[in-house]
Amino acid sequence: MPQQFIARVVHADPVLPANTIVRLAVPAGVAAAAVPGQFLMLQSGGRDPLLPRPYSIMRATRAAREGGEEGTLDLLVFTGGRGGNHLAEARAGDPFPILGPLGNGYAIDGRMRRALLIAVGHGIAPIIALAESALARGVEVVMLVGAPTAASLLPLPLLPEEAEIIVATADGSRGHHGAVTDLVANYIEWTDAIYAYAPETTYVALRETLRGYRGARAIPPVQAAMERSMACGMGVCLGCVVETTSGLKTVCRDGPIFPLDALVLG
Amino acid sequence: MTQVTSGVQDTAIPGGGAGPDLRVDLAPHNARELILRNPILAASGTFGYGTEYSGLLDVQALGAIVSKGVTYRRRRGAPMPRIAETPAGMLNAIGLQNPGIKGVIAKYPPIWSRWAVPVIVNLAGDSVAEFAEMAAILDEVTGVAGLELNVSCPNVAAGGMFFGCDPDLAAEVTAAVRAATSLPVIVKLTPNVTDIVTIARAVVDAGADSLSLINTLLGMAIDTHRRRPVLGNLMGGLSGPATKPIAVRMVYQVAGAVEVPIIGLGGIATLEDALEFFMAGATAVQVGTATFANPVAMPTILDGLSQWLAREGFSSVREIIGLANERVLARAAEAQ
Repeated sequence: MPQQFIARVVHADPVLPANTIVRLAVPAGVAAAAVPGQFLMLQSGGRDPLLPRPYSIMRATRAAREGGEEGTLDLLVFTGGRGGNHLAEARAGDPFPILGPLGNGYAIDGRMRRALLIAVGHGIAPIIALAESALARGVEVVMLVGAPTAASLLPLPLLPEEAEIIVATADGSRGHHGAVTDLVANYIEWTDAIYAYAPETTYVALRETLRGYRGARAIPPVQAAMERSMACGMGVCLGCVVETTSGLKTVCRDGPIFPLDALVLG
Repeated sequence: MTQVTSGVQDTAIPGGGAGPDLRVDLAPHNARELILRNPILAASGTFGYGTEYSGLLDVQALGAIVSKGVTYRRRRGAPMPRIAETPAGMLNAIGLQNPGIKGVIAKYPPIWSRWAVPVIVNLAGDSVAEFAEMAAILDEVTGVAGLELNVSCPNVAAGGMFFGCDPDLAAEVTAAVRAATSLPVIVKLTPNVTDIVTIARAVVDAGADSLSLINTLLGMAIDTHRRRPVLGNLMGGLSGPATKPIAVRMVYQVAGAVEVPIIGLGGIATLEDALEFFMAGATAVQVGTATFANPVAMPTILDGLSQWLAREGFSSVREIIGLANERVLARAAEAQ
């Protein structure tokens, strides 16, 4: 169940020219309840910009503290847009009203042994949360990380050490020269499941790759995150719907994670 | 101090309690009554069917909830994108996505009937007959406290705002619904007209118990990068703080011209905003877009209203209705 609460900035670390990782102190219960793939709505607290902004949870921690427990949530904040700056420029202690955690999050099957995680662009944030959660359950994790250029990649030390990481850049400045989906075929027989947070074009390519598989193993199930502009985050305004095989669904409440098979992609 | 509306008789309704009296009567001439414990309502399209926000705020403490717009048949709604943020506001073109009246009736009234908070169903017909048919269907549905006629939705091709822009058509819809049900009927007016007072008079003469205004303002945003309108529907309804001065002006004009209760809405996010509407002549207010920005905006306004009234020496919220509106004050003085 989402909560409305005031978070306080612990610190903000600029990690890229246009991205800052913001650590927020939150009620321990909020951090405990957060599932990888879920998001928060950060409210502006004013009239302009008006609408809250959704941010995927990049890392959730709980720590014992004097007189109880404290939680923290890390967010990857894009500082170029209308609405992101006030958060990235915040100082330690600054309060932010927040609604969350919201959405369904990724589901991890208890029997899963191996997982292929695909992150493109800012999708790396929720995929880090998922990787850490899967690794903690003893799952072997391979992450395919895509970006336009090496300069726009999150520094790799920020990614979990125990995961194998394979990079693809569109301009070839680091790792594979091309799309992450070029690399998926190598893992179809290895992985039990595929998890993705990427633009829809990546999902279309991923679906093609999986459909082209002619081997003996069953095609692994794919859980894919969708993004849409949002106003409420509660499934009320119906501004963020996507077409699925069972009708229109809200990204904020029914998603943001959907089985790839259920998505009707444009 | 002058009490400018007299619908609520202090002895007639239990539940006043300590502190200022917040009760308002939205259908003073209707035997089925629509007396609310307080004048803060959730606006249609911003609070779903009342169930969605139940974990975040005390829904039962609201004055009333107005449901998402319901059509006769189910609707898929408008193409994406459906929303766009604008300066101090937002555009939306959802296109009345809803499961249709039978789908709504099967799921929600059984829940509403157990609630203390009244639920008003917002109806969006695409013909006079369809409005009347839906009103007749809801007439005896337990859990439905009243109807709000959406003759003002800017985002659907047929119907919607079409009815609300013509005084004769708006009156025809109101009269047909009035004949089909004894439920309290609120008519929600569009601001996208030359003279809202003419429309207001027409629907009051046709039997509206009260009026709510304003619906969203028809607007547009262009994505200069794509060189295309932002919204899939091209145009959409503007809501949020940017609309408030227009809404206050229209409430002021309409409250001065008709005697039924006015429910004011349009950009209300704070107590101060709500007070402007009351003083312009509104008997109650609806909060809409502000709930997206801050889910607890309504309870915050409600608490603030109670404290403000006590601090300013008012014993009832009804004492501040129209305080800034000469015509409303003059009418109240005449009535005494």
